[in-house]
Amino acid sequence: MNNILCMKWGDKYDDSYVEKLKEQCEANCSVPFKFWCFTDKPEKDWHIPIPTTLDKFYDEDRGFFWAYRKCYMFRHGQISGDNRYFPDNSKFLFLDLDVIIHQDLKYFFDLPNDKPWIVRGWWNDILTVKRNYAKHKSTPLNSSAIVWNKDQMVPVWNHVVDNAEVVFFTSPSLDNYLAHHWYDPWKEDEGFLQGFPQGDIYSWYKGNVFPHDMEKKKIREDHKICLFNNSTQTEGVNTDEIKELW
Amino acid sequence: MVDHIKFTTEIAEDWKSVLSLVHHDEYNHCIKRIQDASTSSQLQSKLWLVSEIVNLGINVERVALLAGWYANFITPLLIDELGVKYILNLEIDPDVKTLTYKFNKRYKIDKDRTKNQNVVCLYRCEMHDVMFEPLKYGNFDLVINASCEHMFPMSRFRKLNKSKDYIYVLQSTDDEQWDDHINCVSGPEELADQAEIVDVMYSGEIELNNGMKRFMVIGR
Repeated sequence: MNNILCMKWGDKYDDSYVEKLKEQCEANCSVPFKFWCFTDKPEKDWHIPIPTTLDKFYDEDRGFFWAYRKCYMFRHGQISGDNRYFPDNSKFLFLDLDVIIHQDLKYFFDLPNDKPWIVRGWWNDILTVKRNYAKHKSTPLNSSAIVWNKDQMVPVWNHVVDNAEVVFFTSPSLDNYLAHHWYDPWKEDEGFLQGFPQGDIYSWYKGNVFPHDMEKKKIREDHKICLFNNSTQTEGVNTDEIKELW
Repeated sequence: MVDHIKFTTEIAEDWKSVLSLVHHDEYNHCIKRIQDASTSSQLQSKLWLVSEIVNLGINVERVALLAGWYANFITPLLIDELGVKYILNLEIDPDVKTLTYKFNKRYKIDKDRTKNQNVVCLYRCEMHDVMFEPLKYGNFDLVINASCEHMFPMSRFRKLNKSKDYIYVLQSTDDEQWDDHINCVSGPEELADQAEIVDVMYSGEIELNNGMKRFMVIGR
């Protein structure tokens, strides 16, 4: 069973983002799928309540952009109080709310499933990534799109839970955490996570592939997805620039 | 007081090979960090660290160096001034491994040298995040962490390695201007508290040449 997941909490994005993403998926996916939204305000039958067990580890004062709530998607079990469950053959495609879909999402469900897939930000200069690695800056990964089979990401969930105090203190973002513990920028084929190939996903604010295709704010319809995620934005602040392109 | 490094012909040879390497494209991105690791302030803090161990008369043979970076200054100081026989540097940055072995090539484990039994010290660097996994080998006299401001409090390390009775040598700062200083402390007392050190053998602070205040605690 194919599932497309998204997540909404707080007020950074209004409900129109969820509706628009759902609409885009329905218009751009040629295989059957179910659409789900993890949310802090569950109202519809395709809404899943976001747990709060990790909240106590998040320290707002540190100023870290910790999208830790995404980790709940990786658990094995059901959400407490929610009787729905995903069958063992389930496949998942997570998408951030601020994306534009250009092409058929079937592609993502057909990918080989030996490892989970995540956005490798090809717009990053890998030497900058390496230079800043120990400083926990300049992550090469972006969790705006992730593909996995059921239970494939359970080791990540377990690691976060078992080490939550250290993980939340040390890693400035989920992307950074994943890049340090589940990916290897020096041996990019050997990590637990693998990056979507060049040509799949690009960034509106950062470009496509370093160094030769870095034009910003350019639509590339031959790619599958455009990300609007911009880590330089302040958490909770959103420019709504994407709405002009919906 | 230890106030200098013995700049031998072997050191000159090893350090020159680092400079040659970082001028190749593959390691070009490390030049700034090599400069940062080679400042007078870096040397000052390591001279202070070794001086106080000497003053305390601690007998040290085996050292676990946490996040020791290139260990370009501390390795020769520990060997020359304290007669240390083995140093294990635990790092998370793969580029560091290559470069620290260049800096300390004369001490790296070498089968031929071991056979000849001329080895006075062995130096090793492993990729290991000490805040997530316990040490694989526990028989160290001393655990040095001169980078506490970059890491989770040392209580975590103690918890992961709780069966061991190490002497800890810890340094940190209150300088919060850098992004990667994620765990600054107000003084040596807080540094000791963070590491749950109850037997404080030394506690002090100095101002480095770059103006940074540096705190140090030695104890169990």
